[in-house]
Amino acid sequence: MRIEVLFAMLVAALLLGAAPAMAADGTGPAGGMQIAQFDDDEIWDDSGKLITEKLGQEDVQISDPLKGWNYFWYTFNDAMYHGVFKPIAQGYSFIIPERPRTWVRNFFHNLMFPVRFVGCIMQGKFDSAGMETSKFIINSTIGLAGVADLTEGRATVRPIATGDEDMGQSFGRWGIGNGPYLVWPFLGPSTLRDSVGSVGDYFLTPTSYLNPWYWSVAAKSYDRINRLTFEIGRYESLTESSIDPYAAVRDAYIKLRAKKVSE
Amino acid sequence: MKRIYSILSVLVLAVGLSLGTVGVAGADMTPTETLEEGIDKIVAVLKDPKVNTESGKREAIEELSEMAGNYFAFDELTKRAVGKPWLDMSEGQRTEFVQTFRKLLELTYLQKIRQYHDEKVEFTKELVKGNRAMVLTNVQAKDSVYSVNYKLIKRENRWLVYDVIGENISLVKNYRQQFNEILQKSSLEELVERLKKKVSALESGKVADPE
Repeated sequence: MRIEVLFAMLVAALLLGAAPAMAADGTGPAGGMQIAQFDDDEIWDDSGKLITEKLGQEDVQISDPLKGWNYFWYTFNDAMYHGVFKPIAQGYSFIIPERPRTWVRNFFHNLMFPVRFVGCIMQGKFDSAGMETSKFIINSTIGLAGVADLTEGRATVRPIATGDEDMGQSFGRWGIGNGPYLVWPFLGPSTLRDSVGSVGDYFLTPTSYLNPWYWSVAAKSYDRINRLTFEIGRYESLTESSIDPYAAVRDAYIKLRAKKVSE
Repeated sequence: MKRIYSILSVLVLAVGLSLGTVGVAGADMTPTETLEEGIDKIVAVLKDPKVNTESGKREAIEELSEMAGNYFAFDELTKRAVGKPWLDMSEGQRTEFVQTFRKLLELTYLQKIRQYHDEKVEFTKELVKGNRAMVLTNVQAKDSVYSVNYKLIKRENRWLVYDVIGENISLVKNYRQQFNEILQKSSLEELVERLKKKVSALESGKVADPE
């Protein structure tokens, strides 16, 4: 198990070292030529903020210097999704009703509290960190180890942002850019920054410490499959409507993460 | 005498009301009102349980596809999705591209329709400047809230949508990324060919989702 982590860190370190050179590659002549002509007349960005600088930084070309590697694993993941994970999730959700699946989802979500807590602290969101802590205590005790989410939908005394944070988002908050886009086997789309964040999150994930290692993999896979049953159709609606699914998924990943970082 | 008065007043009221509605429906709707009207119409179509049947779904898709022209500026949307290469396209190429792209959007998004599940749309903000507007909304689905923002352009006193941004993913920009990716290796003609191939594949149901 440790070997796997070491490997991930090694790759991350290698990429970090190579990042400046690769980032420059990303904006080759092709990238430069495609600068969006029709953004010049935009007044607001996609979140409704007034664009003060022309050609605002929001639509920067995504750096994708490792396209060969990324495309290979994208194709692999796509085949795995349609051939293995989706059928398993569909079969599983056919047998197990929605309520027990919600309990399982809540259980794993509750278990991931350390990742969210550290993410909140790293971004100075002490309110959210406090709220996550109270939720964790309540749901772990009277919520039967997190199976019931007793705090769901309850109003707080004053508005507190959700604590859905991780290390990649914290790095983003600190002003660290995405770096090159990266697709990992099984784990899916990521960026250099988020990959480094994931390595940190790995150590904060309780299921990483299950022994022997295959129990850890089993627990994580089960969590993924269970969560997938709530999300079937989302990936398809993106890829089926596109004529270049690889680029569509890449854009969607970057934009979704940008939204999370800004929150 | 009294009766005549009451009849008269009812008549005046009726005429006034009908004039009023004509006035509102005609022109000068705000961007939010336009969207509200559009969303109300979609919801009305989708609330009908017939959407769950094969023929009912087809009818609903036809109905919505006809409506789409009243709410979307497809040429504006396509122009922005294509980006700079649009400038090199001939009038004929542009018209063809707009038509094919609209077809693709309709075929993929309208195929996804299902019966309405009481998703609530909350209009949070409206920004207007000249002939441009942006409307920010939150869609309350079963267990989460999604942000959906619309960009609109005013044409002949009517606001038309030219971009939809769901959870920070802009429809226009997502397609621009795809078109760029393809245009880095292929020509404009090949891109149009690819769009057409996708449309005909969708039409023949080859890419139909087995769900």
